[in-house]
Amino acid sequence: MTRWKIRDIAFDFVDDMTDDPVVTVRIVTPVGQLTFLAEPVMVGTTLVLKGLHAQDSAANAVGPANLIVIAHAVMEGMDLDGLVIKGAVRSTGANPGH
Amino acid sequence: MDSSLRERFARLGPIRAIDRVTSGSPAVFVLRLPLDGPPPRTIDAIHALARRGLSMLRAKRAVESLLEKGRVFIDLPTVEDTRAVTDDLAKAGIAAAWIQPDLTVNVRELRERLDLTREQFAIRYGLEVETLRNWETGKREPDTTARSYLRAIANAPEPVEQAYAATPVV
Repeated sequence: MTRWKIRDIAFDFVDDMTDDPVVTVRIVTPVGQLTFLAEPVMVGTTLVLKGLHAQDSAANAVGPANLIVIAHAVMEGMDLDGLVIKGAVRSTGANPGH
Repeated sequence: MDSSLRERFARLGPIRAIDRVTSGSPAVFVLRLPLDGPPPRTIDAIHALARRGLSMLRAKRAVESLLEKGRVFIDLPTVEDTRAVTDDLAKAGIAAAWIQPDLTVNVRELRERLDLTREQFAIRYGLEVETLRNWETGKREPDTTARSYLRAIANAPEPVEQAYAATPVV
């Protein structure tokens, strides 16, 4: 799979405009749309995304190399030194519900 | 999220507010995970709940609880149409059913079923005789709390009596 450039990716967000620490991000990529929802927390200059949910069929078509491109796009765009992702309850795969 | 974090995300792309339903009534639903079918679209489900007045965090917790337990009850503050909620959740792969409130309790019928006079019923369940009379004659309606208590009596008269009797007198 071709490795994307950061300029190939676009972001938009949905927020409930309160102090509730939950954000949804839609990422438009060359293989389609990805949607993530998580509880973001800044720890120094590292963004921690707790309880991450993902959906959309493009999720399986991204590949690890392009996930890193997305992560770099986030870190560059938000001026971060680190990005930590902590998953939520499984809805698929082995042992859903855990 | 707080404003400083929102500013950081805004450097990446536009931020829009969730499209909340602006008018409607509270409604309670039971949500279930279907035994088969594709995995649920959890983010769509969270948004469907948040659009009806739950905070995003409460909506997220509710969906996560559903994934863990397979069933969850949810009280949505602003429901424009119960069918719209069940349709939205069905599209997200979640079975939802509206629980219709049945708050009507025929107080006289309940008391007579238990074979009690007004005085006996009032003493047994900690009510005032005059209040009972007003409910039975239709002069007044029990409020939500009283209706819930009466429903509990109707469903389990002896355990409620025992629970009430066990209440320590201060």
